[in-house]
Amino acid sequence: MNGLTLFFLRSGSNKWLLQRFAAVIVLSYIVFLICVLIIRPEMDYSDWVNLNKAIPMRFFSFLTVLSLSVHAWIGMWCVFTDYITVRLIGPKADFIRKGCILLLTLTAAFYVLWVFKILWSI
Amino acid sequence: MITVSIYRFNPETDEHPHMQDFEFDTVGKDLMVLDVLEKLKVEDPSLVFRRSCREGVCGSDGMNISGKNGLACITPLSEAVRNNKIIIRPLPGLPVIRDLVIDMQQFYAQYEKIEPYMVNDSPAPQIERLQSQEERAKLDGLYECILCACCSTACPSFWWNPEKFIGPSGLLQAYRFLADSRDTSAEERLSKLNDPFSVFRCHGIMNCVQVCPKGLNPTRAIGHIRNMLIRGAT
Repeated sequence: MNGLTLFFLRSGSNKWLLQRFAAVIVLSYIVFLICVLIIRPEMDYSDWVNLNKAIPMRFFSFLTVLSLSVHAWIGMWCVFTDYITVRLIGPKADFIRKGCILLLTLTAAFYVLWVFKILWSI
Repeated sequence: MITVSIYRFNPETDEHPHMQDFEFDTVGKDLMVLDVLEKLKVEDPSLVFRRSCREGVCGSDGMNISGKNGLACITPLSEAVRNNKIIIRPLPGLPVIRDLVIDMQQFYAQYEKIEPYMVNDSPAPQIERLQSQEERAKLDGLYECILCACCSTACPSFWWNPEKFIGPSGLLQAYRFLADSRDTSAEERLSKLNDPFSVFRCHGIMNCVQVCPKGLNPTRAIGHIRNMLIRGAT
């Protein structure tokens, strides 16, 4: 097991459930936005700002980005552990894979923090 | 007349594997691929392949026939010959020992991991442990596996992580014991499978279902195991 994998994610079922749960949150956010645009087709910039300023909307947006990051992290972790293996690319694979996972983790964390900053500066 | 192109590799004499073409006269008969190999072996005794029962029961002669894994003894030429040519290679993903013979150690190691035997520590009854007809019916589609390795060696997840992913064949057998009403170790069995690789590395590609010469459905069995693990986690 890779050292970068969080303790909670050592269970395959937890990882599987978390990825599906995250997907449901992202999907519900997309459906919500589509509904908003259908109900309020005349929405202008100030309406859009007001919508995103509302505290529940901020939490929903943040939760969605967090879910998207978790979903992407688990998916990419699967891709890295499938393709970047000693069997496929040789003895450097472990080092390269750990580097990729570290980069992935940092990128996901960066995006989450960045979105947090954006949402709370509206 | 058909061309039979066969993967050849003798580690004692060959540096690299190569394909060797044989011309074969079927005399208008729809022979099984194994029959063709047997006749070619008479012509060239150095050709090596495994075979035993020649009726799809022992699972010895699993090989890649014109791109699809299958048993040579029950694959007719009419299914495998394209443009008067048939290409025969060893099962993919496992080391080749010689010609069409592969080293199945890794495959059996995964089979061993799932503890393919009944566990029941309660005192044995005088005659036998009984099952209802419904309980017995749950084993249909599971116990028939002959461990030919056609499914596991067709599975990309098994190619990528053969040490960690149990593979469709092993998981079909794992579910065979999880579904058995006489086995009492379901919890221990599931706890050993609940890592991110053993079961959850199945991406539902379903090559296993496509190639199984016995018509079994390992993907469905894996889905059942996954459901049991998820129910246990929630």
